Amino acid sequence: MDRDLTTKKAVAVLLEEGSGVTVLVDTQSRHRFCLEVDQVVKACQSFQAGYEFFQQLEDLQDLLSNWVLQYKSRLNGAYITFRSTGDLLFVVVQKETERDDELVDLLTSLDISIASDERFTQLKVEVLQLPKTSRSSLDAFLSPDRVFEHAGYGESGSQSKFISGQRLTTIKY
Amino acid sequence: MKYLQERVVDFPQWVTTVTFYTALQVVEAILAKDGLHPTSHETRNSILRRENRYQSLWRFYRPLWNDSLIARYLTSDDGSIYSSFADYLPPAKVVSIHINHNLHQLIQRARTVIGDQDFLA
Repeated sequence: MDRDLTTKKAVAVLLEEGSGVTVLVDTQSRHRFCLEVDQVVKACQSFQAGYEFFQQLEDLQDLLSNWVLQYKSRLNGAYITFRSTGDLLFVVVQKETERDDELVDLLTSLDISIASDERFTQLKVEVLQLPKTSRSSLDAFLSPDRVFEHAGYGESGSQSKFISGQRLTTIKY
Repeated sequence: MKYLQERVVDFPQWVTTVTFYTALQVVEAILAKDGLHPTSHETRNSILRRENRYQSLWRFYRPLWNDSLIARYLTSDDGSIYSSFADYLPPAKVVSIHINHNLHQLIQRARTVIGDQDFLA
């Protein structure tokens, strides 16, 4: 927005892509950005994509948190981690060591519903079900410093805890 | 499949892995017929889960993909919570779930998807 000097009201300034106009942005912190309008267009597109990504990530966290709460009696832990490809991996750890066949079906349905959900167009999400195991064995499937935990292991590694009703939160190793 | 089943008691983890890669070959054949040639598991999985045409395959492929990862990458732990793949999936269930059910159903669905009941007969 610019200011109409006669009315002091904010007005929109139209900058057309390809016009060759140079834009000077002066921030409150006195940092100045001097950009060609085509660069401004790319910056806006990048900002929009980033904004949508994090908005979708928040929505996904809500969905997965609700899913975890719904099936918490079957779970020992649940995590979201980022893979090296940038894709997200939702890791579910069973309550027991032996394969929970019903949980396999539930997780496959969740996987398909996320992939078909228009709220998550910017996200690529894999799901993975693991048997109850130690934290050190689990770490092979999680990216250090890039993990959100919903329910996880206690300090001893053998006791489970559940963060009931909370969104998945960042954990530190 | 008969050979696989004979070895399952000794090597349930490797039978699961080979069954998964058998399924992968089925999926690759279907995708290739449709002109698709994914070069990574991630891309292939994404196609299967997102496209309506392939979702019936994904329902039987995903469990194989999941359990083959456990078979290959989940190590036994010091606390003996998980000591071997058979703790998770005993040999008899590898046969009943993965060979007789998931792989069998995947091939059936593949035939339906491409409209050729003789596919892989």
